[in-house]
Amino acid sequence: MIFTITLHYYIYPTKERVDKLVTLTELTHYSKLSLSVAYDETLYNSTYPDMPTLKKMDFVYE
Amino acid sequence: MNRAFWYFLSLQLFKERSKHLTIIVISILLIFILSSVLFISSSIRFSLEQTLKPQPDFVISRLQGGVNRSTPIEWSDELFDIYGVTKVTPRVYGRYFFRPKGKSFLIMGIDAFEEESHKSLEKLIDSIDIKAFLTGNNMIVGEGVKEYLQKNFYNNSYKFLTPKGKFIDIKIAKIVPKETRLLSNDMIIMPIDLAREVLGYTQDEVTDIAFNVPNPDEWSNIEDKLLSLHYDLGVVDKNEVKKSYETLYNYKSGFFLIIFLILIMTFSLILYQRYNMVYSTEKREIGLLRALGWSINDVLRLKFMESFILIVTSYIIGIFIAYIFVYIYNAPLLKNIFLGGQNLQNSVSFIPIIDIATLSSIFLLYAVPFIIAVIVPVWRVSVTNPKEAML
Repeated sequence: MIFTITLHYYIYPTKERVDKLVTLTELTHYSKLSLSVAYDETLYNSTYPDMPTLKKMDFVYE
Repeated sequence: MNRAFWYFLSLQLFKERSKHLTIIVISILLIFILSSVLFISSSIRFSLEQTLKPQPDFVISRLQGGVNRSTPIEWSDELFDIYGVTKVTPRVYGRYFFRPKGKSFLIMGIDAFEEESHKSLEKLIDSIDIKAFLTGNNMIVGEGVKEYLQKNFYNNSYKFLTPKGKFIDIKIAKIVPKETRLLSNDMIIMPIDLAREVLGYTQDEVTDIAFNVPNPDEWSNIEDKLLSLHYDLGVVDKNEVKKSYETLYNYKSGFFLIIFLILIMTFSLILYQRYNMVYSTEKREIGLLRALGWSINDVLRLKFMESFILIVTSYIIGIFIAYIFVYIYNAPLLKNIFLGGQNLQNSVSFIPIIDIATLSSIFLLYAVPFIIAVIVPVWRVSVTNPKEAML
């Protein structure tokens, strides 16, 4: 078991993968996890809690 | 400890194999979950830390009411005038909503006039015609975006709706290599002017401005100079980013620590209860050993070694299964806890990281309560008079 772990650890192309990540960061000057979370900037209308929230793009679509 | 001791220990283990097997199975499950979580978190942290070096030292943006607003591009000219500041790069990025399905993409603009961008683009994407890419309406999309657009029948291009109500047809030129999915899954890279149009920035606006200060001793000085330039200017330096990476999914930090503690406490309680019950019926056996001349130390040593063998066996098997699960099968189900699953599905191949500190923490967190839960009931029985114990 220990041998399998060691073997996989050493043959995994870690350097290549890290290089790609570094190059992408150099290109975009930006590095944040690409998290798959639903993005909602106005979850709660703090000014008028009884009103439904209006999002930025609502003005574009309606 | 002589040969007879080991022989007796092996007989003891064999005799109570069904009891030990149950404990081993529960322990393997516990260590597997614990180490899988730690393997995923350390792999993500490692990948992010590697990208720290090429990141800009400082990022400034305009703040209004504590919220980032579009930053005037002329601020970058003011930065050039500060001695010690290099590589001033205005950045344009933001989220675009694919409204019908409530999904969103991250749009990144890259500067066509920057020599470094050309080099990085050539290095990252094989056989790309940079001139054609930067001059036309083209984009490079992440794997997640590509899959999602294809599912919605946008195989070659996508029409973006700008905040001004205009449609822009942008062609999918290339795909970002899948090795970078951790960062690029929902990313769309396009020329900076195109990104401006899609996100609704004017020619004089950017999202923020990044720059480097090669001399770290100058950092605080530069920060003061920056803050005196404009009252609505916000500064973030690399150390803050570094700190956030260090605490990201950290096993020492709140949420994970609580989960670990609850798991360990529950397991120890189960073990304690189990051994307490067992030892009330097995008092005779310990009493017999004591009557035969075994000291309390000998009895404790026997039980310690017995538990130690169980701990090491379950630890090695648990770690092995966790390694296979995370680094070979890419942690199905469990990865969604870390990467989310509501927006674009991400399937990341985790870079194998074996952190000795993490592994020893798992061992200690698991071994110490285990041994205590076993030794305490044994000690309570073995200190009683052998005569009483055998009754």
